Amino acid sequence: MLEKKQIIDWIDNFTAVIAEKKDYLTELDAAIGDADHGINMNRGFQKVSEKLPTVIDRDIGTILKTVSMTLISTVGGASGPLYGTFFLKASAVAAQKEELTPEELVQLLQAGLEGVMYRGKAQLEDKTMIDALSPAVDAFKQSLANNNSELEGLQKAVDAAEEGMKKTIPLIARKGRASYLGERSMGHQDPGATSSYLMLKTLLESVR
Amino acid sequence: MVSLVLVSHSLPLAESIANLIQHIVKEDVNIAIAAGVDDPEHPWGTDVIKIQEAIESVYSDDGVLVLMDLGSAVLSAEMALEFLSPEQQTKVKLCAAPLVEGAIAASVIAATGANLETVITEAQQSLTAKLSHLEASNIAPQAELSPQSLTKPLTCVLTINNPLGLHLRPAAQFVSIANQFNSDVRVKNITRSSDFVNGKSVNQLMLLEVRSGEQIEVEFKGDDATLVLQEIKELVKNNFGEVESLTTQKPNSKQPISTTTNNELIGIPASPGIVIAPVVYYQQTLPEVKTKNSENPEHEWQKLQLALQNARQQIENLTTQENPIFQAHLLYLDDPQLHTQAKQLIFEQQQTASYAWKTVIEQAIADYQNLEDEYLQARAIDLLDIGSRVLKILLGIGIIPLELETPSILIAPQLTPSEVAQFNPQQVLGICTAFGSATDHSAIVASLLGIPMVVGMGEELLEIPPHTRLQIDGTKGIITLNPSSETSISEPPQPSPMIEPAITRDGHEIGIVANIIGVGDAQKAIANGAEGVGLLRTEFLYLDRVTPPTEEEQLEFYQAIGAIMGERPITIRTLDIGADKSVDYLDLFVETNPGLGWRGIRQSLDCPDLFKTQLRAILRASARHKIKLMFPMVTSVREVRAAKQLVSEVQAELRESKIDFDSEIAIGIMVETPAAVAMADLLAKEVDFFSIGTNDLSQYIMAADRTNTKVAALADAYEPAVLRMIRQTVDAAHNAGITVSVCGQLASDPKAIPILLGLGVDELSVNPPAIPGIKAKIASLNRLETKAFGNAVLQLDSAVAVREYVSNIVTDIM
Repeated sequence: MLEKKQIIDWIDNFTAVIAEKKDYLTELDAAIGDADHGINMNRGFQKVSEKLPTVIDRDIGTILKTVSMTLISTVGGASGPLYGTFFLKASAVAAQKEELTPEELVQLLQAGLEGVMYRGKAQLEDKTMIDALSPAVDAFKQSLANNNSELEGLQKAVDAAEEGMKKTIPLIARKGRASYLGERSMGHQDPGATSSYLMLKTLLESVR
Repeated sequence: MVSLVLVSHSLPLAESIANLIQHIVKEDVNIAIAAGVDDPEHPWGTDVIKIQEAIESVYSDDGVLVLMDLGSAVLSAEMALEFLSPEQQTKVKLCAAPLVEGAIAASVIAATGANLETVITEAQQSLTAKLSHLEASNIAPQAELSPQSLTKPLTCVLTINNPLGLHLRPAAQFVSIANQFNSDVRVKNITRSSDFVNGKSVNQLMLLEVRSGEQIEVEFKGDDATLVLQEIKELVKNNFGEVESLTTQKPNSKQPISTTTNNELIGIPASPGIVIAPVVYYQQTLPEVKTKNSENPEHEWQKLQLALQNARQQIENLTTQENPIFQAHLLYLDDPQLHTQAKQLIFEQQQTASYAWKTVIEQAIADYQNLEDEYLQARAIDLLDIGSRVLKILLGIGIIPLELETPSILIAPQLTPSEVAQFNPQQVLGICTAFGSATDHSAIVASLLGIPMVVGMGEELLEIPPHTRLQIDGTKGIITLNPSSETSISEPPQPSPMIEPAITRDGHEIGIVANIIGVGDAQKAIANGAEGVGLLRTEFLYLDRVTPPTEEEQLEFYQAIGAIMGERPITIRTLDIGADKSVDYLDLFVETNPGLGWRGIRQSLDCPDLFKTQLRAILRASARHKIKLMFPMVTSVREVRAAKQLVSEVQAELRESKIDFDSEIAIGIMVETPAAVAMADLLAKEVDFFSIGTNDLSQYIMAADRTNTKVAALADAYEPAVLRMIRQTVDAAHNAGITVSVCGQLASDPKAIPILLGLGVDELSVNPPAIPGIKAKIASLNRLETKAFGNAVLQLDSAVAVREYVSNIVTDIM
């Protein structure tokens, strides 16, 4: 069971992780993108950390929706609508809820993933966030189906996300600015997949 | 006046465009800007909320056109649109035109007071002038700008030497190879000095009309150009694997077909009988499309892709063996040319998916018909077939009835069972197909209809000219072209005579129907004397696939069964899948106790979309067949009412769409839980019939899992506990004036029949092979005597005692 407190910790911790990894993400983006992923995400999540205290008494759905609305008006780059849609779709699953069962957490991540796919119209192996998120959700689902605990499931999800993130290195980008580079996008890890992996890793650490 | 919103990563850029517009367009145009983010150090980006506010600031009922630069601007604008009220959404459009050109073109036209559609069209065409000026005509219209356009192309000139030229099969092989590589492939007919066309489009390739001896130029552009060039060269050098000339060309050697003389073709006998008649090609017609425009192109595009996917699945399900025609159909479905054209119509002219698809297919058919080559002209039939398949899926309509001017013999590549099922034997006197085997369900349906049929005749069948007089011998599998007039014709065989009904010695008739899962055992059931179907299981329609079956697919299945059953009633049980099955598209979590879990009506009520699709298909089938509807795993009155509510909703929808169905359809339930038995008096008021599933009922009454070998023996339908509950169910049903059937294994067990009759059961639903035995058993019994047995067994204390009693009484009677 996931308490509301842990969701808040997750957002707080992810904000800190983004701040810490800002330069790393920007560096990854410099190779194949606009060199702004770290800067943009950090700007968005700094704003989230200002807004969060005003809603911590509300249900998980409201908290996640606040994260979403803040991101879409502050991030600036494509990660704004993409992460914004992730949290918006996730918030619908958590509406009126003060805690989440493992199944609900899977549904929440699944809804978020579907939102990102819908928004970006990207598929697996397009070298995007999807490459980290999609295998993670599958692994989580599978693990729960095998009667493993939530923590075991999340660990599997994070492992799958990390593997998916690393697998983006040889891929040719098919979405976003990196796709203009064609083959020259090969050999670089995708910044979006990286931040998505970090998001799931932080979730695991916040639940533990 | 239509207003504009400019979305850009850069505020100065957007402001400058607005300035430029003011300078070029002298009239006032309402323009709002949503550009940049509030971060002095890093001000570039887009903001969903800013875009939403910008739209609202210039919104009027005349509409708003949103133009944007790229990347996040597109995603943010799309998201902003979703935050508008539904009414506003219909009047705000995102425009794919390049920002500067589009904004200027849109402003000029908006200032004249033009409506939103005109403004969009003008803006979207804004790049055309520039493209044509910069000699963009060198670029093929469909060529997309990709990294591949940066590299230098490879070209080669090839001579086509195979007898028929670049006809269907070679073109299909060419496209299949081209599609395995990333490179762009373009082809032109040098001999006829054509333009370059897309070498990944089977249509365009065939429309080049390349004949034997003509030359083509092929251009390869991309990272793997060398590889694909090699493969294509090899293919052409080997004459596409065609070694013999046309006249001696042999069909696929795997099939037992041979030409005996010039006038005879030999295939596989599929349905007996001899008949002589003129030949007609089975031709699909494109259904009528009423709605031309849609407000939501994205949705229409999705719909088309889904329909293409469904059509692909249908064809793959149909293609049990190598069938080059259907392989080509699959290529048409993936043809980038057809896709691009349909996409343009949907997005640029706001056409509906069905209207756009019909337009594109009609154009392609016309293109083929304008060719000189007769063989290629005839390929229009393939496009008609594939076009109509996709359209029917899009429009949700079934098979269009075939109308023939004179009674004829039909020729087709291959037919589905449901297509054959709708043929009128007075009109369709015989059927010949190029592919297929005697075990196909379509062959079975033909023999039930008494239509002679020969299958697997090979592709040369399709070269017979229309209206040729033909004799078909479905018994020997031979067709004769222009037979001599002395040849006599025997009448088509009559369907097998009805087998006697099951009547007890004292003249009481018991209904005997069958438990079936598909077309195959439906036929067996009829042959064995079934008077209808008491239980049609639908589970297998849903298993082993990635998406649920479509309404059309289910309808075809129910209609195929209906065609076999004729006037006889068919009880269709709605889906009963539990956690012991793996179904990807249902969220079936592993359950520790699947038998007591999420299955049957419980699962159906939780997945109303899936359930309603099945109900629609069943109701539509009821228009022409005698269908009864049955719900599984019922435990409460509430469930039955909820299911009936959904049935009413579906009926209302069908009525609204003017689709026929049987409004008096009988609705029943499976009685297979102790709860249903306990509530039988109240449940009986809700439905038209009960059917007792003795297998599940036994395991639930005895609390013994049938799959657990340690306790499975306890789940014995001969247990007096089970028999008492059957009696209770029968009494409740008869008090309410409804009938009771038994469809569990018990009804297929001759020893149990005296008991079931004694307990008052009205009808037995039996496994097809057991039907003759059960009928014989009934004929040996006296209904009045069985009443006494029924009362007696209810007083016994064990299944063992019941079996012993039954074996004694049976001896007495015999």
